[in-house]
Amino acid sequence: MTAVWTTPKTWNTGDPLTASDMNTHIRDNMEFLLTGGTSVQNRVDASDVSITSTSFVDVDTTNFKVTITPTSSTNLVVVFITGAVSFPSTGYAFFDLTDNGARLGQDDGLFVIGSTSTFLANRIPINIAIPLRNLSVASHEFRLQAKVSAGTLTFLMGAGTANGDIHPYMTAKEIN
Amino acid sequence: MAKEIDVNLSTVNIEGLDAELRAALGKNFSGLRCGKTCTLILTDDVSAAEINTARGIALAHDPTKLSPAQQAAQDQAAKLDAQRKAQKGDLDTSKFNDPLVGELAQKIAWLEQEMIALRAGR
Repeated sequence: MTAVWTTPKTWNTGDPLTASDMNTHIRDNMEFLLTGGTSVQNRVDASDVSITSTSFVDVDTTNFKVTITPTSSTNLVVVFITGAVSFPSTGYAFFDLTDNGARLGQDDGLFVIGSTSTFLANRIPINIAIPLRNLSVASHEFRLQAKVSAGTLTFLMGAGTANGDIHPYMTAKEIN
Repeated sequence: MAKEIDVNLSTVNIEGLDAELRAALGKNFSGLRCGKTCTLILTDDVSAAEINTARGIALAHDPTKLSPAQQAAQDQAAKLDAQRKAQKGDLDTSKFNDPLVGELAQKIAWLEQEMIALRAGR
């Protein structure tokens, strides 16, 4: 069972010590703290996704996203993305993250890869961590977005591609 | 925001389809996202008629039809391959009697060997 955080009860003189309170406020909160907060992870086994769009679009609308509800707005939430792309084009591929549909980066997004050669850009690892603070205590769905200046970007999704059967992960973790 | 139109295509030449749609819709076509299905990414300014045009082009898409850039790359590769096959054997530097031309021929022969080694990954 996933541990859930409950705001600890303030005990007053004379309050009865009940099993229910002990389980909720001591056991469950200790378990929650031990597991390090809410963590959601999505391993993708789908079709590779190719993008030629020159405006930002979701890399994958169904398989590559994570949802997290922070327990406190003062906690740090870190979104980790690991995987690989193929970009055998002369141009740039830009990436951004959306929080409930709103892009977090401005302009050309949060990070970029550039290529001037088909030989240099056939397999590029993506390993990034995006720290976020002051998120509201509500459900947040994060999706990876991408666009290109020219050419075709392919995000490898564990689809059995020769020398490219790479399984990306997307994780959101709250740090108390 | 953009308008996204899903189309079911069994096989797709993403560069070819992208080129066809760009030629037809211009700035109102942002590009494609193709995984299990293909999605046409259109701007908010696109009209209903343009959406129909885009959908029609996508559904009529012939994956064997190359984009102009793909066709140019294929032509260039064929030309290079033909020229490669026309070159039989290494450069015979002994044919050049003039010392300066002979020296130049030696250089060309060396560069030829370097290129053969590079292409073989040595």
